[in-house]
Amino acid sequence: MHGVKRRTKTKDELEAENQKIERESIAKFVLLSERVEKDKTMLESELSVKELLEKLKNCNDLLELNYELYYVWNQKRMIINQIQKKISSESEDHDLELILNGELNVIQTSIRNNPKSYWTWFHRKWILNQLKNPDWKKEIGLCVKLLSMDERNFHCWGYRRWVSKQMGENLQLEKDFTTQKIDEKFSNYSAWHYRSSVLPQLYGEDLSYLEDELGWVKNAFWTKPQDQSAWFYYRWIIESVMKREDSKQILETEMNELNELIEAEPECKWPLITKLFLISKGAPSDEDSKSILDKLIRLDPMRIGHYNDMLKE
Amino acid sequence: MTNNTNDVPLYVDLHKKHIRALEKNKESFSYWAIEHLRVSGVYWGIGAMDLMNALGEMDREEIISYILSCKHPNGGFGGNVGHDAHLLYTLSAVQVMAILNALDRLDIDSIVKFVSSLQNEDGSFQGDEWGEIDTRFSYCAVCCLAILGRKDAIDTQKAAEYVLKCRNFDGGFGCTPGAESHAGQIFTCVAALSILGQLDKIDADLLGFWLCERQLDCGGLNGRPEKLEDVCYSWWVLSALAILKRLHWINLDKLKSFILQCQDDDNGGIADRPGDVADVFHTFFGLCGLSFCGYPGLKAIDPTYALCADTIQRLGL
Repeated sequence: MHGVKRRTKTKDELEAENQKIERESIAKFVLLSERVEKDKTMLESELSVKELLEKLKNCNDLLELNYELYYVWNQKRMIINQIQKKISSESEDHDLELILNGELNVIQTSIRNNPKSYWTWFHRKWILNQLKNPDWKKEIGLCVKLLSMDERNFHCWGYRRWVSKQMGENLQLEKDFTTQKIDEKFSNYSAWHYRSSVLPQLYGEDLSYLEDELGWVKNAFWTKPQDQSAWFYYRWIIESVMKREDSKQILETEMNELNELIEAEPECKWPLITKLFLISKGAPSDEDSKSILDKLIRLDPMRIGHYNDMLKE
Repeated sequence: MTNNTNDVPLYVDLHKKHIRALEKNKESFSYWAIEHLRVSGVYWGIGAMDLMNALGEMDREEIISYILSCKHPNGGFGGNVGHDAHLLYTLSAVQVMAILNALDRLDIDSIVKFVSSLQNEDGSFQGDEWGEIDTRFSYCAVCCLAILGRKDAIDTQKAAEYVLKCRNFDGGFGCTPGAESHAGQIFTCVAALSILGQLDKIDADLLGFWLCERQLDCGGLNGRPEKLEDVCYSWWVLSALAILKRLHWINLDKLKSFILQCQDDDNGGIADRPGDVADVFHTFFGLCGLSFCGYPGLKAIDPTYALCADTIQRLGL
């Protein structure tokens, strides 16, 4: 047709459309919900594996609409328990490992769509505990992939920790992984945190690793002094250093280097806060705490409450 | 507390309207999106109304009936009618009944049996029979039993020991031993240790420092380093700081301004950050934050139990 102008939808029309979509979504949700609820009552009777697998699929369909339905994850486990019973009683011939691995695929999709659901991650662990031959390397691979998409996903870090333990805990591997993540991004607090728990386990009483750690964390905060992550980690390294016999010399060296950074970055609060910390550990200082606190109050007025308390001390 | 004349006011009437509407609007998708945790939604809604001195505007009997209908035969409460029992919703249910002064309507023994049955040998708590362990559940168990006056039903020493195992290099706490510090987990652990009488085990200066560094230039708080601000951290961070007696380490004026900006001035409610969609969770925790900031007209909130101070007094906690 000629000369017909395109008509953009009015606000009311868009509103009506959205409401229609919403009503349809709700209707679908209610339908799937009712089906899963009905399934639950049927679980009390003897169902075949085929029927149980159908019930499992019904759960998955509902979860796709909302992964937070914890009672549906519970129902999946009830169904899987029944499947296991049926198979082990040899009344039916099905490949349990295949079914469980199928579950892993479903969970993988769930995780991709909602990587921060506690219920989803727990279900994955539960499935892996059911498997005779879990592929732990694959699970580590999943963690590597997910943490490359969101390096701060604490569910995934926790999952990696758990998988690592199941594999016999290769602490060197875990340390190397944190090295890689921190090299990628100095502000990856999750990686620094994990490192703080891996290193003491890896080295035990032998504190000689602290020298390399000091060099490495300083590289991070010299490069990006505004990133708080390395500074928090540094405090912990210094606390660990205090257990060494040469702690006094180390503190002196650290203070000298910190003063150089303060000269280079006089408007950055982190080196100054850390200077106060080193003084509290007994490091010699050219400047007294009060003078440093006065600077901090000027640079970081938001935290005057904290600084005033430190002044009182 | 100074009043920044640029601050928008607290739209109390709009928020009350928003909360009262939540129960009724089955046509909205957001009603269905939280149907699995409706019991907690009721707690957040009732808690918010209580903070605004508007508890009388809610139908007390209807709410009590609803909560009781979520009870599971095993003594615990599910997130909604017919849903499986879980510690999260059991705590919310008990909190609602505490606010409404209706604890006598509960079968306390059966709740205590359910909660105590979830403690493991190492002192940790699982959320339900399926076994997920998290310090959130330690808090749920300990807080719930404290409200019911039945802390004796669990091994409190072991409960505290497990929480302390979750302490990190930065003084904070995670959900399990070795897990990263997160403001939400820090609240649950600090509050649990407070209830268990073991606050002295916390390095309050170290943790207080980490917590006060959650405040960003916009005045809002984040939950971990390098993350975005979110109104709900007004609760998790502030309550932990309040328990540690270091609330003044946060700039409360700037936080107050931030929370007020997160209000929806059309439909009421408070969102996670300015301009986003409001929900009852952020409304409650935003109001809690404002209460900590001393906002006039709001009741005082107890940082350990997340109940108004007058409820705490009535319970003798």
